[in-house]
Amino acid sequence: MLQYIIRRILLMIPTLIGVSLLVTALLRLLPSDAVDILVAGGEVQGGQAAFKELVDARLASDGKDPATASITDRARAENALISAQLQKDGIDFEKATDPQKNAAKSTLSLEQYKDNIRKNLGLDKNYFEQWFSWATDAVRGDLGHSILGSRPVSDELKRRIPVSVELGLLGMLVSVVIALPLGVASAVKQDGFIDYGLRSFAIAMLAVPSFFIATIVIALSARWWSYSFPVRYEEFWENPKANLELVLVPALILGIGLSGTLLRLTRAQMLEVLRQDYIRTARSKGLGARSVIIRHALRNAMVPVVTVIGLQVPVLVGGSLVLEQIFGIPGIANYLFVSIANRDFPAIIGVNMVVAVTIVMVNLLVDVMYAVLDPRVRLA
Amino acid sequence: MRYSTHGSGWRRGAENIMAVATSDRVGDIYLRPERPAVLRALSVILQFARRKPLGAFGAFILVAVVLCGAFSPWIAGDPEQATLSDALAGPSADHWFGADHNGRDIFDRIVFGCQVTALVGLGTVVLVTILSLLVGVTSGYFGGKFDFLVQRLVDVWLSFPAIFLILTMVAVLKTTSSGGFFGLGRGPDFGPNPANGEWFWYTFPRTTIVILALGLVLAGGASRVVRSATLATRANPYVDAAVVVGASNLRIITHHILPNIMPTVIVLATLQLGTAILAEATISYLGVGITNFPTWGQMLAGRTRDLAENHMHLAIFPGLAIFLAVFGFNMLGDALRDVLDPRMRGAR
Repeated sequence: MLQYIIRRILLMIPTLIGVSLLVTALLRLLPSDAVDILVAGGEVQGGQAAFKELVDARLASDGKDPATASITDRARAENALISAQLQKDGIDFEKATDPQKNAAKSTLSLEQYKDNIRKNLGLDKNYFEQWFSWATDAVRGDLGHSILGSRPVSDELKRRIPVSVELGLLGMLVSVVIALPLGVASAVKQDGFIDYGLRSFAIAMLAVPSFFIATIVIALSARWWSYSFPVRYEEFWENPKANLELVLVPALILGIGLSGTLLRLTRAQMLEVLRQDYIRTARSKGLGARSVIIRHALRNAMVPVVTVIGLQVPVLVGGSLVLEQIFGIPGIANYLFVSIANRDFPAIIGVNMVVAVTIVMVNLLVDVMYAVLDPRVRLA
Repeated sequence: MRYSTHGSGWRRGAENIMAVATSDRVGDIYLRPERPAVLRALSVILQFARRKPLGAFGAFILVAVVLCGAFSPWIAGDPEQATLSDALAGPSADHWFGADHNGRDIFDRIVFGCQVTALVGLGTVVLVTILSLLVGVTSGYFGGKFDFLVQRLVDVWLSFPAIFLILTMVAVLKTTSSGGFFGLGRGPDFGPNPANGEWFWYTFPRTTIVILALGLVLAGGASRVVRSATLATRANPYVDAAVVVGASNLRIITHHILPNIMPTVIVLATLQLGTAILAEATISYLGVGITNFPTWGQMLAGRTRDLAENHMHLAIFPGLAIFLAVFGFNMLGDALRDVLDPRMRGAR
């Protein structure tokens, strides 16, 4: 068992390396980067200094010392730069109007300015350099700084992970509370009216979009009770009541969505177990129906159900994004969404690694738990 | 005349015995005349509808969505026609499902939304099936080190939050940015004009992008199911027999593995259809998917959430459309599973 766990943990390493390589590659494919977004969003201004740098570089390449170059040399270098830029748009320098020249100048200075920022942020490195510098920092526990807002990514994650975990755990709790009793009832009354209804209910729960329920819930609570959901998120430890007021409803919606899968699985497992010989034995020795179903059947049916609860983690992350967006909950899915929009490399890769580690760890935990709960299962 | 050798059920068996009793030639034993293909197909469909009414309901919805999508310009009016005086009007004879905050008819928009639902749903399923067959069958059939390596790659594939892959793919593939979120702004003019057949060319690239993204995301999990079905099939003696006879790998895969995992693949595809449509609606809702054409998810986004308090029809009808489509396809998948592949019962 221990050997198995160690082997699985070692297998995690290539998986995580693969995930981080892939995230880096995907982000490099994006048509624009964080600096484009920063500059386009008006977060920074400047350019005059950048243009002077360009001219200096041009002078140096012509063999003149930028510090002592004459004004005519400087003007000549400037014109050469602008002429090259104008030629890209197919405009002749001699015939170009002043606005065109100015536009070319500002494009040049903006590009240079962006390149300077990229150099500062380390975004000018090639793929492997970028991945390697991220990986060496990450191994030491430093996930880097977010490009926008320049906060450490690990701080932001520390703030957001508990929020996501709270939402996810509450959602799972809700789904278990809904699915277990209904799944058992459905199996016990197999092919009856109740079974048919509950099976349809389970498929319906799989089919209804969470944003639809959320919209209806918000609309109806406003209409019937003039209630509006809190706008500001409060930490659970500081203000439990305000926190639950905001998180409870999204958790309910999340749980309802998950309950469909769980209900179907519980039913299938119960049917499997109810056919076993030991159930007949339990019945024939005169045990009551309740005792047979709960103590003999349900306990054995729970084994695969428990494992599937664990396998819902990726679903939870995806499912909670919409709810985090609607209810304004600062969880990690929301962070990922915003970071992708801003092309914020350190933040994106940080969130992805956290999620990947969680998924891999939960998978391992599920496999181990399966073996512990069911002695017939051997880990190989 | 063609003969069929496989009867099913006791009634067919009785027919065969009759054939034996009345037959002149020995070769006709166990053979009976085959009915025309159309009649056979019809009777299979009728039998399916009688045994699985909810599955038949799902099949009906599938056909309805595809037909609505294909013929939407003839069924509904212009979905972008904004009559401001009708803004937020409730359901009436003029506007069956009411009008939105721009005065656009909700019924028209839902009917046109069928195009996106049908294209994305079916396209994604085709892509998922092809990808998962390629990965799953090869991995399960060849086994050994190759299987181990491929499964580690699938591990990486499955360790991503799906939403990241979708958002990044959509942003990567849409390089011709015209402003808007994730480079997905409005098209060059104010919406497509379906009367000129423009809808196809305006939505085509984005539809493809969404299909590619969803297909790649869903194929990872599906390939695992295909692999396990392949493993189960490969363990059968007839595969060993084929190997002994000297059949090539390709021949064994196409003649012995593929036909036997088909039921699993068909059921998987039907269930993926619902998942794909729900996912498409979700990314449209988030404003990342198809933005220059009416889609069901998009209709619930934006101002609808605030306006729904007093104008419930804005949210109810598109929401019901999504729900009915996904519910129907899941029911169809479930019914097909019971009929085609009893082993998979209770999965998912």
